[in-house]
Amino acid sequence: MSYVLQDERGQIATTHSISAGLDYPSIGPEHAFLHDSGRVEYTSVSDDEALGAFQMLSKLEGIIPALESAHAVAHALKVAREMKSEQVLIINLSGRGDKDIDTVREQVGSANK
Amino acid sequence: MSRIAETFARLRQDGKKGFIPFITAGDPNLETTRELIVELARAATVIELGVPFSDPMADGPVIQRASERALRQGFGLTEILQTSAEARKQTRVPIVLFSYFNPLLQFGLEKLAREAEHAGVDGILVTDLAPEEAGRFAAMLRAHEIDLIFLVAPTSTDERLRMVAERASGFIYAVSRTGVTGARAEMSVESEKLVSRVRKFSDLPVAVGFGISKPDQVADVWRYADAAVVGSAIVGEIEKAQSAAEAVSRVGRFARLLISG
Repeated sequence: MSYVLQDERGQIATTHSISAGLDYPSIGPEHAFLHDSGRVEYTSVSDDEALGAFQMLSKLEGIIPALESAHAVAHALKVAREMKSEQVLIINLSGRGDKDIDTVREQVGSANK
Repeated sequence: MSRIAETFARLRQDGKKGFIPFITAGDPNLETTRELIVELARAATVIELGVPFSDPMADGPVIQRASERALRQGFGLTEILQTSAEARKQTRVPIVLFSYFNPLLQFGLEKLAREAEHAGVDGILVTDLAPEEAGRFAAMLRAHEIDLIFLVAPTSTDERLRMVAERASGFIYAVSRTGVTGARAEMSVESEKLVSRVRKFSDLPVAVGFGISKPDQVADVWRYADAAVVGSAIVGEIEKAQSAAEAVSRVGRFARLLISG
């Protein structure tokens, strides 16, 4: 069993995410279990925040994160602001972003016009 | 004995074979669905009533479009059961709900078993409920004298056929081939092999479906199985109709043609 975006009649909702890997109305059962057991806290960021993080990591570190992973980077930026400077924060970059260059070019390019 | 078991027993006694048409509930609307059930009852052994679902992964384009037409009207299982209850006042033909699991799960399984019995529903087939997961639901349905119908496919192993045979009642639905629903020019030879494999494990009647759209295909399935299921070809007739009244007369005519072989 897992969590599904759906209406009260069990019809599955349509979704949107800038990252293809997140554009899906459900989640793996392992995540559902980790959520229920309280071991993991799940959150969300917007398309714009993910795009911003994608560009920031690319520019500052030369690492192009997958758009999926860029969501984690975006949230890490929020969390880091609340942390002390000696504390350590680890981001798991689950994928590389060269596959997403076209999507980003389309989005950022159109914003710059 | 359930109404489905009774119907097949009578059929077998008379040396006849069965015809199981499928329509999607609410296509083009629920009032027409009731009329279609009554019309089809004149030719049908059992009627399969599809519960429209947003993600019909076992269905081909024809039934997908029917689901979309039905969903746009914004009704749910409550209204489908009402329609079934109204049709039940006019016919004794067994009705099987053909559904994906999620709409049933969200409705509530115990509530569904209770209300389906009240509505005169005789069986429920859940395309995406694996037999391993079906024990509790099967027991709930049995308590309300509703049969749980299972699909088997040419890829089902003997071990799984045995598992299905243990849990199934009413009849077993043999899928003629791998892939989704939809008419095909040729019936696969695999389906005859599958039916004989199913018979090693179960005495239940076996219906064959997926891809049947013509009278000679129905006649061919009747050589080795107890009933033929026709879905997409019937739904296609509804899709072609310009009005609800035309849909009913087209489907009635087509059903009579299918069993004429």
